[in-house]
Amino acid sequence: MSYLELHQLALGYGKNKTAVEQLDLAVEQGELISLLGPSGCGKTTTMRAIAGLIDLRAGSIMLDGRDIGRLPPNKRNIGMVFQSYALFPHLNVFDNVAFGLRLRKVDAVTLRSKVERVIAAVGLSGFETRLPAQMSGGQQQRVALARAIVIEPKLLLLDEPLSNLDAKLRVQMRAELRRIQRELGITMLYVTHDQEEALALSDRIVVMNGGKIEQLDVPENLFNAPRTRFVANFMGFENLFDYRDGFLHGEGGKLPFAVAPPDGTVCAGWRPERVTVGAGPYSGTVLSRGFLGDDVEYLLQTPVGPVKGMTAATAARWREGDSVDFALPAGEALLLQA
Amino acid sequence: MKEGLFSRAMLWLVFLFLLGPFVIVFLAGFSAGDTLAFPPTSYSLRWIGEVLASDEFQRAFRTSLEIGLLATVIALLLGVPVAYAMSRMPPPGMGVIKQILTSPLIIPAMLVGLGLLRHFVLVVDAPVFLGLLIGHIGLLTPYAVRVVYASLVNLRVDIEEAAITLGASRLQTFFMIVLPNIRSAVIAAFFLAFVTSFNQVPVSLFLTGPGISTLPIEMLGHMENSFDPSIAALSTLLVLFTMAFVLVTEKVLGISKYM
Amino acid sequence: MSVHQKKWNGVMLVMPALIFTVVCFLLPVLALLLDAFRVDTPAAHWGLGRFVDFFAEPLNRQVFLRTLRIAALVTLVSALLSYPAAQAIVRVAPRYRGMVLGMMILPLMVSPIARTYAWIVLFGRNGAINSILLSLGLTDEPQRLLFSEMAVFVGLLQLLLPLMLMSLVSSMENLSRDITLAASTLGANAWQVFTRVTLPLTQEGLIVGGTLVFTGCVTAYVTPALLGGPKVLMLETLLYQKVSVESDFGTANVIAVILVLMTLAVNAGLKRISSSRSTV
Repeated sequence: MSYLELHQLALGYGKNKTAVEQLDLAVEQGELISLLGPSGCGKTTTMRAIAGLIDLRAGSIMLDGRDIGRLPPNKRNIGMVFQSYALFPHLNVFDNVAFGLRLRKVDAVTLRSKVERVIAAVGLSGFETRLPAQMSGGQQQRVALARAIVIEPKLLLLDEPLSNLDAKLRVQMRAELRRIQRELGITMLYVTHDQEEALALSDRIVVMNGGKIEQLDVPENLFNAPRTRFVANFMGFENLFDYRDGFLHGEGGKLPFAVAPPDGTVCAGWRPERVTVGAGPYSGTVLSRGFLGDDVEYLLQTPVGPVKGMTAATAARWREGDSVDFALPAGEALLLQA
Repeated sequence: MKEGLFSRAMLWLVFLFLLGPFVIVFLAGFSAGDTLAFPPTSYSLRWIGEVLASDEFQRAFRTSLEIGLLATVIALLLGVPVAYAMSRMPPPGMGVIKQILTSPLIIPAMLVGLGLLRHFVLVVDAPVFLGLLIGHIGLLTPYAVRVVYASLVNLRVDIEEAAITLGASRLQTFFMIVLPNIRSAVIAAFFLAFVTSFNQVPVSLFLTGPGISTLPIEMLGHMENSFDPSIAALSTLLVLFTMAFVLVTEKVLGISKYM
Repeated sequence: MSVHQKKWNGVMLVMPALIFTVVCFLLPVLALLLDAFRVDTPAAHWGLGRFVDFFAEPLNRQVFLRTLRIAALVTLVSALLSYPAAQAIVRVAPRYRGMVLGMMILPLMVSPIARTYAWIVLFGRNGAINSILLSLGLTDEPQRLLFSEMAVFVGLLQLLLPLMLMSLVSSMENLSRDITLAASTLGANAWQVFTRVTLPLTQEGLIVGGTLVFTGCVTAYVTPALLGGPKVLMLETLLYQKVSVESDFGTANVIAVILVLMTLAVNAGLKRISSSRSTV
């Protein structure tokens, strides 16, 4: 029996809209698992249902052996960090963090020591009397985290907590989150639409699309061996083509594919880094050229539609409108059965 | 800019028109004479003193104060939950409910007074004070709802959700999280309602009775019989009272954004 | 926090206020209004007989028309005065804006008795205006200024102007200065800018203000009572007279219905205009 189990979960809005259907998920204690997917895929809806902020249409949620589906949200002991932090504007940092403990009638001495310890853990010692309005986004986010952690919840839910921070801060906070999670051994469910973030943080990732799970796997497998076209696209395989009878098909055209793939292959894909630009059996026209520092990214117009490739900046001599050869190496291909 | 000059001039004119009369009443109240001459020939505090000493005015003032405070508190107790429901969990038929609850603002107040008199007070033989109180409460509740609602729609819902995930019940969330954050709106509603009640005439016209009269009604009655400057003096006192009230709360809370 | 629970909670929270308003407000007023439609004819129990009788009396007709007339005039003049004043307010530096607005709101917070009183002082026989006229030698004896339509007009104007002003100010605040500047760079003079740009874009405020002022006039009591007296009656003072002096509740109910119909008509009519013209 896993720590958190979702059985055949069905969730929806209003009368007819279904957000999630027949969702099964098992999470182990101490895991950091991400729900990854585009907007509208149902990841936030699932998270809110676990928190109790949304009703279940069908299915059950088991946490540490207990069926919590019927419990009101304030009895589930699940901490939640909101995308907008949702700090109480009229309370300072200390009181924000202490809120949950005060509701649990923790005695003053214990309360003080717990709150101060967790504030130190997120690196905000000295900020206790500040009001949320007097703090930066990153600081507010850490207060939100501290507030949710200090109640020692069975499960911590994080709803895109880093999306409002600038890129540099995001990377920094990511590492912090991971460190704290490991130290405290908290089971975390993390919602994001950023695949890089999910890959860096998670023990396992759940890729969702249209209310269903596309693939549930460890980051390495998702990155190297996505199992469906959707996941492949999401993981950065930008060149995906249908495969039929020895040809790659796309946008009304086709290219012969030399090597015969295993039976049942319907799709082949390449990461831009793996496309050879400058030499190869195919030919295309440069649509656009983007300088990335060490590399140059090329978007080529080809018989099967746009192909994105990369080449070292030192070798990138083609400009927009130029004709250039390229190759889709069979060895670098991702072959999919679905 | 010529256009700017014209506007500015009009603004000053309007100011003069709106606020000048206060100055006039002010001066008239300090007149020493027996009748309402303006400009006064001589000044004294005589009428101010008479007004402050008058039994009827004192009684009426107390009644107005009592009714004002009671009606305001009850209007808030009725209205704040409505504002909360409207903004967070509108019940079915919200449109109709809103119409019903705003109707006191549309129905001419005098009719309310008359209607309450004939079809409530006389029917159940209710005490005068109660009839008066009910009339005022009904009038004030829409103000309470409107002002508090304006503040609630600007308060994010996620902080309530956060409180709930941390273990608070809906009631606890309301008192610990929502209320402190709409505090200034509630106070603004309080002042607005109180002042409205205190100055209210049409509703009270038919609902006052022997011994129970609000200050404005008392003033009106007095004016029918005598033309002395006492009403000017009383008006001056009331204006000063209201002015201090409004200026202080505007400074502290910025009521104007809730109007 | 299920969806069902939420809806039910919403109903509970609204109930007390709703019950109170219906029982203590709507029902008594409805009873009052319905009374006006009762007739004592052998043919039917309901009818418009009372209304016919009401309008048959020339005095009543006069009062009715006078009320409409003065209300329309006050609304018009308040709009004319408020537009330029509102523009000036909107251009005031933000530092003083609060103070200026406070001064606009102040009159609304003061008892209508106090506000009307000044006009009594001014217009009275021994009042300021007469003193000036006499001392300037323009008349031989004090003029009767009080208890005239003009006095009521001025009093109501002063009473209700802030409503129109505030309405226009809030509507103009949303009108970006750039728009009027753009119009003038395209060649419009001040008057054209006003009629073709400012006016259409602030019509919402004008309509709201107009509704407030018009209904304010129709339902005013203190000002017409003090400045008009028994000689210049408006609908509300007539109503009061019917009840407290003549104990003529029948006519009072008729007047009540007329008042309600007028306010509803103005509210609904102007709402219709604003929504049909909102294709700006």
